[in-house]
Amino acid sequence: MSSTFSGISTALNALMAQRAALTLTGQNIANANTVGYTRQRAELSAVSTSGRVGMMSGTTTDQNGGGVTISSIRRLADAFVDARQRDAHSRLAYADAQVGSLGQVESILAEPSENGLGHQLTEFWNSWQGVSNNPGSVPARQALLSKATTIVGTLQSGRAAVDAAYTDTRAQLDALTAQVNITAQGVAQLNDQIRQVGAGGNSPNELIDQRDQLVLQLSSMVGARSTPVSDGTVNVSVNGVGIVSGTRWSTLSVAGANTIDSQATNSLALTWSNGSNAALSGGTLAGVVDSLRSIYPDVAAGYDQVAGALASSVNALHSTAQDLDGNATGAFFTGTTAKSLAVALTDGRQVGAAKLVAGPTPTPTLDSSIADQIAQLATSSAGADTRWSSFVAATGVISAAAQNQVSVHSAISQQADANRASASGVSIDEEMSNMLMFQRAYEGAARVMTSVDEMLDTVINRMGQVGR
Amino acid sequence: MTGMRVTQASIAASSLANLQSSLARSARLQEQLSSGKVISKPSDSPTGTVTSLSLRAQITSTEQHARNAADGQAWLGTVDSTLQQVNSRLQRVRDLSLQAVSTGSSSSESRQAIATEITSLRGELMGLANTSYDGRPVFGGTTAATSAFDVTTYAFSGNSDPVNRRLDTRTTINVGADGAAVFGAGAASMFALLDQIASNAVSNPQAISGDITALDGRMSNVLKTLTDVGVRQNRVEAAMVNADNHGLSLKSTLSSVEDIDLPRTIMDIQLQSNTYQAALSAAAKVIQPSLMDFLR
Repeated sequence: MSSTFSGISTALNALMAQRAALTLTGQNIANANTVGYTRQRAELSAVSTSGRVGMMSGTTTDQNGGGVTISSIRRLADAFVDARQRDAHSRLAYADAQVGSLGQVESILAEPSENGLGHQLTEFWNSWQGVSNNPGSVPARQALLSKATTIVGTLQSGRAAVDAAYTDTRAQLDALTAQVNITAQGVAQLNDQIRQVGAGGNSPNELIDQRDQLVLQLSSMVGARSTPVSDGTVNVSVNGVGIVSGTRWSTLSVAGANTIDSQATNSLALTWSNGSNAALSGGTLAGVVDSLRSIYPDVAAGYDQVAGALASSVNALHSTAQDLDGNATGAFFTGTTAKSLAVALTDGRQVGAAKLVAGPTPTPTLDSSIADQIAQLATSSAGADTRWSSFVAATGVISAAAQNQVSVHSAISQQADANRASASGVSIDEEMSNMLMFQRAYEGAARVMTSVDEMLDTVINRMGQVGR
Repeated sequence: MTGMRVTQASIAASSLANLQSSLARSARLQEQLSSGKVISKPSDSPTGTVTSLSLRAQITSTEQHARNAADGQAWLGTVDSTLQQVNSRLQRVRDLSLQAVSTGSSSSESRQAIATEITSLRGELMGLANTSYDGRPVFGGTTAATSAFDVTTYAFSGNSDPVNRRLDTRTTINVGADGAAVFGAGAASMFALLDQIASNAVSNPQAISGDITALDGRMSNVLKTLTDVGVRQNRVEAAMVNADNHGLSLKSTLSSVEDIDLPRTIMDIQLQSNTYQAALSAAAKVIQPSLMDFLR
């Protein structure tokens, strides 16, 4: 048979449970806009009376339960949705980093415009025709030299801008690496706290939210994946290499050239402190590394090829010519790369426009057949113009493809974020109706207690007073 | 999976994302409208960029070809008018020679006068043969010398190399004339012939008829060269007109590749702005109310 006072304790734990659930609703509402917060729910369960063996244990008056209790505070996260979100973010970050580098390259190319190298090359060839029209005119020859100097300047400054972009991005890589290491450390430390709080029987939900935020950041940076462990901690891996395991973490280190010219000999190397080679396939860091390994070196090589083609094609013809004073001419350009390219001539008279007249003494002529032949290099299939336009087009194609990747992955990433918000986000409407429910239940429990109290009042103060 | 659970935060996030993409489209159209260009960087259209680069190069080189042709025309014009004058001077020499031949009507004084005029015509012809354009003797080929003929020895200091002007990527045209072919050189030159006629007119009028035959040969050479120059002038003229037309058509092609379609872009930007405003007002309506507004 149950105690006379058991009704009070039932009402009391109902009051406590509803109040706790109401407090949790308050916590959800408070964090409705907290990034990474996962909504929580108090799991209420009815308390059964412990079964007793005895003569009266079977009577129906003794079948009542013992009230309600909060069995757990559940964190309403969906591991699959979270994993998809991490994956989407890592791909988006990768494409974003590439678009950033390619955008920079495109602005360096400055095509199509009147300031681009393509236009300057055409003007250079036209100046050769100007010299061809008037081979005796020193101003026409000087104009040609100044156009040549403009081209050299454009190639050099373009190449220097690529160099600077490389060096800046390399510095960015160092900063990102430091961030990765701090984040990995943060995940490991939170793992430790989560383990301790969980072992103490308390709810580590908020710590888990914080840690998952850090794991998401790691995914964005290096394409990390996480695997949950039963004690509430997670193990984080990048491309199969574990970088956080429980409370231990590995750090990433970067070695290699700071300049584009030394990257071929002193190549970029990324290693984890556990000795594994860091092969990255997603995240900002992978995009940055790919930019450093291929995009910038390819663009630099493109510049060098254009410079090389220009120098060798012009020089080949120019060395068969003679200058205004009848002296045999040599190279027009010195150097074979965008960086080393320079105009070899200092005076317009030295421009070789005429076919070389063989003989013991210089024979000046106003022939201009070589100048005309050089002007025709404009349409040469292996010439600088063709190389430049195919180089610009190739860069455009890569950049357009990367931009497409960004728009695709940002849509996927938005969808993943929406799915996460849908599974784990706080709905104010829902919390409002929960609040109503819990408040009403609390009121009801209080009413139960009042009525038990009135009942006891009847028993204690009013019974046994017959005839008084 | 049942219907997707929607929360205020997810509505806010997706509204914001939609507004963002709508605004990004507006910004892109705005950029096109203000720059007037569809292609502002290679990735906007890689193939369009290649076309644009090639068209720009063609336009600039066509302009250069037009300049080449104009320069060539000036050369040919100079050659043409000089040869016309040479021809009329030679005609005069021929008339005078015929007068000298008919000895009956010519006294020795008048033949002396004829000889003096022929000598002075020789001087004029020498001046014409050394005509220069822009500092270069037009009958000297590619010589670096300042004159084509020596005034005293009649030696030809030029050469027969062509003075070429490029009319298009495949064609060049010679805008000079071979001085040696027109005037002859040294003792065999037109000037030596005139000196001979002048001396024959004074001392040996009978020999002049042979000189006239030689003079006719020279005159026909001049006329031949004149015809040739005329033909070349026509070609250069045609090339100039061609270059202008070609340049115009290239420019309109470039414009169709690179430039925006103005009415269409304005239309697009209007539509885009409508979409944006609709999205804004929808977002404002959706986000505002919650259950809170209806609970006491």
